[in-house]
Amino acid sequence: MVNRGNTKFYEAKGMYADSTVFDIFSYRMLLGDPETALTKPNSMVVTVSFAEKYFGTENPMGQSLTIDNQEEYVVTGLLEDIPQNSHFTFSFLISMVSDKSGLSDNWARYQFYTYLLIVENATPEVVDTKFPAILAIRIGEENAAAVKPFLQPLTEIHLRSHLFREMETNADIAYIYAYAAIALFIILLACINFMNLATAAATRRTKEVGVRKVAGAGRRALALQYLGEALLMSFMSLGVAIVLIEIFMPAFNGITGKNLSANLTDGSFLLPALLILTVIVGIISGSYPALVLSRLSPIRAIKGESGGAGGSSLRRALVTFQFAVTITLMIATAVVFSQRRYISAKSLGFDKHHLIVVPLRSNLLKSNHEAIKIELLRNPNISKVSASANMPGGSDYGVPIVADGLPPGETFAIRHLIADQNFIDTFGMEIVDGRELSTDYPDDERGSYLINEEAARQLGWDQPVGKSISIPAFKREQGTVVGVVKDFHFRSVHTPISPVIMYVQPSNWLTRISIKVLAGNIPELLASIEKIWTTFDPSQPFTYSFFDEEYDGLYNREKKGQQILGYFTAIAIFIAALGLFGLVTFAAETRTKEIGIRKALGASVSSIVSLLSGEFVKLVLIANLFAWPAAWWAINRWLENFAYRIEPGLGTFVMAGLLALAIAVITVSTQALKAATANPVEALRYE
Amino acid sequence: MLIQLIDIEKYYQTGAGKTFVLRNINLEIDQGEFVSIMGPSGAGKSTLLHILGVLDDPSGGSYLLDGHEVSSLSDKHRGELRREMIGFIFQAYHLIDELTVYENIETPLLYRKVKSAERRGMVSDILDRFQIVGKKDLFPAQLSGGQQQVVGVARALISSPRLLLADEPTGNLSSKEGETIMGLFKELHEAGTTIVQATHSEANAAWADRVINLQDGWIT
Repeated sequence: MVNRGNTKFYEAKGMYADSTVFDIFSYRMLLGDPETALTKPNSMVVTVSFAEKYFGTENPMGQSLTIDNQEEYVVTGLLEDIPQNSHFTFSFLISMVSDKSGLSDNWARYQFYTYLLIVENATPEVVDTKFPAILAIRIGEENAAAVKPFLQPLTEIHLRSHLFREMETNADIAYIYAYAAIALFIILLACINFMNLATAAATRRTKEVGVRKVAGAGRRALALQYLGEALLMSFMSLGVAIVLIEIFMPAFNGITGKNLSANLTDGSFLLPALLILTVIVGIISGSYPALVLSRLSPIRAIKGESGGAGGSSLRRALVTFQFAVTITLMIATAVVFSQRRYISAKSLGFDKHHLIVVPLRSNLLKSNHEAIKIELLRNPNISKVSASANMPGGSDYGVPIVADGLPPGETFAIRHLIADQNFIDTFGMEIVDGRELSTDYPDDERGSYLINEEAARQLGWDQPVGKSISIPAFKREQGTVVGVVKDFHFRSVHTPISPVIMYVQPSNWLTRISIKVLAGNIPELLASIEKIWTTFDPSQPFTYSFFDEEYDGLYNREKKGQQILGYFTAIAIFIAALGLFGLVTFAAETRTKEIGIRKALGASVSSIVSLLSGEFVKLVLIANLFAWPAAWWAINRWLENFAYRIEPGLGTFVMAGLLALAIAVITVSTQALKAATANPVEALRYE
Repeated sequence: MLIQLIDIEKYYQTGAGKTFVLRNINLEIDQGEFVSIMGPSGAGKSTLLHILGVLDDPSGGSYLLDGHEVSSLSDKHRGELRREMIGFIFQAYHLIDELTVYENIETPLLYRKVKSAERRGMVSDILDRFQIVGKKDLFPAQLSGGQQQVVGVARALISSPRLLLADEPTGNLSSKEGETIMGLFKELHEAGTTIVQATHSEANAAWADRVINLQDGWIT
């Protein structure tokens, strides 16, 4: 918490930084000297928006702020706000020399992130080889052998690094590739529509081609003309696209939770890339119509005869391709949807609903947590309360334990859930063996443990209750397992269920109280909780969160992915249907006479509809042959991200195929029906 | 009686009012009759044939075909009538360009759901009868006008219709080709088929038992 007089806020984005931070990163300092700003203890550098929050329009330089009601810091520099797309962002930096924990010089602890600027032409791999020797001096050879430091290029971290405790939540390059591929496919679908409709409509332009040829136009000139038309169309579309980007960007940012902007004038690669793409799209779309049209023989062309059936087989292939892409996307969307539903329906081993989490920010609150719990339970709408240091979905303490049955000197890696005796009850967990921790047993405070089934399994314990455990890192020398908790998902279902140990620690470890509420008036309830909080410590602003929302945050990437994929799929379906609509309209138009004749011969409406639709329906069916293997490959790659996942059955594929078929049939048959019910006499009038 | 037209009218609504194509047509045609409808272009011959062939509806009046009021029939029943009872021959032949001679002739049988083996026999018979076996795999574009019309006639006759409607069947043919077609009609007539043909030509009209003159939509 940062405060200046009565202005106080919780700031999540403050960091310690070396005085050399400005040599490495290119932050723009508006006021102050980058060389000296962070050299002295209790100095801090702040960003513009942070400064405005505390000082308004005053000059922040030389002003002081209090952090956590303890230390005062003097502002020695003002930075421009850190751009959203930086490797990491912050609102203030505190000089490293202010750190009193002594950890900043401790090479055995990994509290800090280290950035190196290597000299030009230096090879990172060579630099890597120097680390062990340095570490050996700092932490001793034995300890150094267990650590393997390596360099990562800064620009690679956001998209490609998946290490534990990254500086910020990273993105995944695989998702970017997937989205880019889908976007490319969608452009291709639209190009195909242009090609198909242009060649189809070309038969209507044959007379024009004939006249031009008779007038002396060469094949080249004609091809260029049609190519030019396609390019012109492409550039006009670019104009429309830029307007659409402006309109839809806020909505897109809303879905993705990103803060993207399409600034075409900032000299980035975006404008040239768009222009190149526009030209490529124009050439792809225009080349085939240009070839077909310019190839027509002048005599046949002037008689209005088209180039023959040659073009239509390519058109069929292209429509098949379009539907293959669409069906693939449909399958992918369905699988992502089912996997998400599977995740949310999957039994987590605890009940995440109706839990309000309120942080215990001050020592005053921590030491009074028992009294706070009693106060809370007076409210009839609150059924259970538990204080804990961490909780499922959050961080834990990565220290190993010593347990019965392990070879001497060996330890066991396990996740720690540190909580009071009410946690099991509050989170609706189940004890499968032994008993839960209880205030009835004074020993439980220091010497009793719960483990989950997985821990028992991995330790090879058939009878876990009564086994002894110690945690040397936390100076818990001897203790006994008193119960076994049914397995629960401490982490997301991306990873398999891991061993967990649960125990009580002194109140200064506690960070939050979880409150199980009955359904009711939540705002009223929150107000009463706030009242209790402020009675115990009026200096702390009251904040809270809903546990299920926090826990579901583990699946944000999948949630956004599903939404984006859903939109992409809708667009693909729309484009493919549009193309099909155009083609069948055209087919019906060119076959008006044939339809008239067939009707005169006694053809029924349904036989005409199936005549016109059948061909396209066949294409959609063939498209499944290509879509299914492609979708199978893609979804299995994606599902590999989850330790617990659905097995997509044939049903999903069949359903997607049927849905595509239904869309195609509806699209095609509306036009086919129109043609089939038209008065045959119209078609049979003499030319 | 096969055909009975009572006060048949056909008009199009235009900006200025109604433009009449057919007025007050009263006509009866017996089973087995061969009738020619004569008249200049625009007299309404084609429209009359289209109405007779259940391809178009009259704007007013009543049309009884084989005793059934046609205007009360659903689309499905009209299709059935055309399939089962009527053969149509057009001046512009109206063969389907994408189908071979064989397939063109076979088409009406497909709509009558005739079995494949039976179809093959029927088409072979008629190819034989019209001496076009050698042309069965050709496309319409590869035939002369006369040959195309022979195919058109073969197609109209394949399902042995009781009523054969021919709209200027010889209009695009040489006089020799025309005579061949008329000879065919004569034979069919003698075999009992009811034939109604529209024509410009006095000579062709004379092949029929009865000639009806149409002028500006009126029977004169």
